[in-house]
Amino acid sequence: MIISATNLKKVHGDRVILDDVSIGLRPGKMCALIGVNGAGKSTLLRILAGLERADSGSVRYGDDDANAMSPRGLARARAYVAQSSGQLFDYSVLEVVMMGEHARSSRFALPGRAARERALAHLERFEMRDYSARSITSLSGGELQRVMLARAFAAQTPWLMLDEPTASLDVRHRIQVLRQVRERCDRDGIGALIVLHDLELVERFFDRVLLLDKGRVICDDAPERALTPALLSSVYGISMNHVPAGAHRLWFADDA
Amino acid sequence: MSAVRRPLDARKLTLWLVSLLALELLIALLALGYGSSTLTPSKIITSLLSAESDPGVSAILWQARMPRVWFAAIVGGALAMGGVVFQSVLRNPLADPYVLGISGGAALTTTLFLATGLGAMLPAMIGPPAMAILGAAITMALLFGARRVLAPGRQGAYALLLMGVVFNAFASALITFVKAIVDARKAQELLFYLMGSLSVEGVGVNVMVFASVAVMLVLAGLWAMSSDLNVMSLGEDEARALGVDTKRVMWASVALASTGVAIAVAYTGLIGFVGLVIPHALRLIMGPDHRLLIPASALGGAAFLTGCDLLARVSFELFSTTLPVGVITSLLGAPIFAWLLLRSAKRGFV
Repeated sequence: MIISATNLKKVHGDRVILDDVSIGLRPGKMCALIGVNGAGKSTLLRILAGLERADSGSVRYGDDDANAMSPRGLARARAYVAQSSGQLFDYSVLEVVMMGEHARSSRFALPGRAARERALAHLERFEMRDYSARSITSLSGGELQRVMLARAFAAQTPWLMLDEPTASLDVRHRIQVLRQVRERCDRDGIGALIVLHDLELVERFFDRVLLLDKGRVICDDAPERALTPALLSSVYGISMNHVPAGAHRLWFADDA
Repeated sequence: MSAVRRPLDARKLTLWLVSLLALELLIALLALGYGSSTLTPSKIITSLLSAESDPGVSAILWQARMPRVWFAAIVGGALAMGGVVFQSVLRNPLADPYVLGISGGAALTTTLFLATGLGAMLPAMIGPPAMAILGAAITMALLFGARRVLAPGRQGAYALLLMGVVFNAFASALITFVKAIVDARKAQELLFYLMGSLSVEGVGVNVMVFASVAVMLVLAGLWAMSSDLNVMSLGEDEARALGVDTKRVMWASVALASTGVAIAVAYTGLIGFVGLVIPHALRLIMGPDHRLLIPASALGGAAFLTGCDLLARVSFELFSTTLPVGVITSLLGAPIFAWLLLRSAKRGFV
């Protein structure tokens, strides 16, 4: 299923958040959404996920208009994960991951052994299996983030939309999370759209990068072609450069 | 609060519900047996089950004691379910129909109705509950109106609670005002009503049936929404991402819960803190899954209020007067509320 956005516009007060954004997203690919703080990345992701409405323009999932889809229908098409806020009620980690299947389960179903096993397998992917019986109120920010990612995987949707999934993770888990997403894109043919700031990770894992600046997509290409010192320096307002590191490039700010 | 718990399965669900039902039946038997003439459990069961029972026993049971025990059960159940719903959808562990002012709003309209003589115009079965539902609906509209203005997140949640407390004080003042201008006998009635009382002796069987059916429907509706409520209690945004029609679930669950609370208030007045104590106690021991929590609260609330009312009646031997049951629940509930408030204040109102 292709997700396509046409002429998206969003204004907040007198601030233009998105200014005529049109993109098409194909399954099987990992697409990164980068840009400075306030460039409109999260808003674009939320509009594409059907959680917010644009002032004008449309988002389509295949042939369906996202605004006309039910919350349940949307949740079967895409999983969305944002930075999670603190939790109030002490559900166990396993219970929260099983809620990922909410949009696909019947109203009166009790989770069976099979659902439990599936949820545990997803926790395993993010090295959280040993935490399955712990209360989510007792987790650190990074641990909670990994639980939310396991829940997104448990939803078994053709699309993953993640807002800074690596922000509160240590180096090891940052790599591991994106490796898991990569594997699902390659093996199951799902598509992923991910907001992040880490340019090394963009170079290493992604097929495509969208650079958002002042509400406009100013660059849309494969990372090795899209990212140039001149472009990044002008967007980030700080001199950017790179050195080779293995098969990839390592980006750094060289204003000193 | 991080005890190791297994997720819900059919066995756990059945086990808990059967145990709580047994507890409620046991307390109900004690409550039916206690009084000026003591009835043993075997006498009660024989009288209830067999056709040719002792007419004296039967009269005591059905006219004096059963309405009280019956109402304790359905009122306790309705209030506890109300607490569960408000805590989950408002994501505030301190939300309770009484604290939020919903009981107060329902009591206000019911009082106005009873005091102004309008009460004579509608039958007892329809009038008070209809007025109470109207009062609860007005309160909910005010609360949700305020919620739109308040900041989203934790601070807004606590501000909303404060709005409820203030509304409660306002409603109480109006009720007291009404009490002051009506005649003494009526004022006495209203005072008892305000304190929350289960002296419903002599209430008709049709009223009992009506109230029970209504609360059962509330239970059925909320139970059917329980997996949506699970996801809602993680936060509205997350719930939408996971495929819940959050607006619809919010309105439907709040409307159902308020209706249950209003029916409770219509017949028994202001009985506070049941919706706070029971859901908290049950979450601690069985976890927050609403598929269990909703029916368990109904049964647990029933058992709790039946027990509290028994305590209120036993207190007659100490004070030569039967305490209104609302006094007992508030004496137990208010300290628990204070403790929960202090605990969340210590954690920075997360």
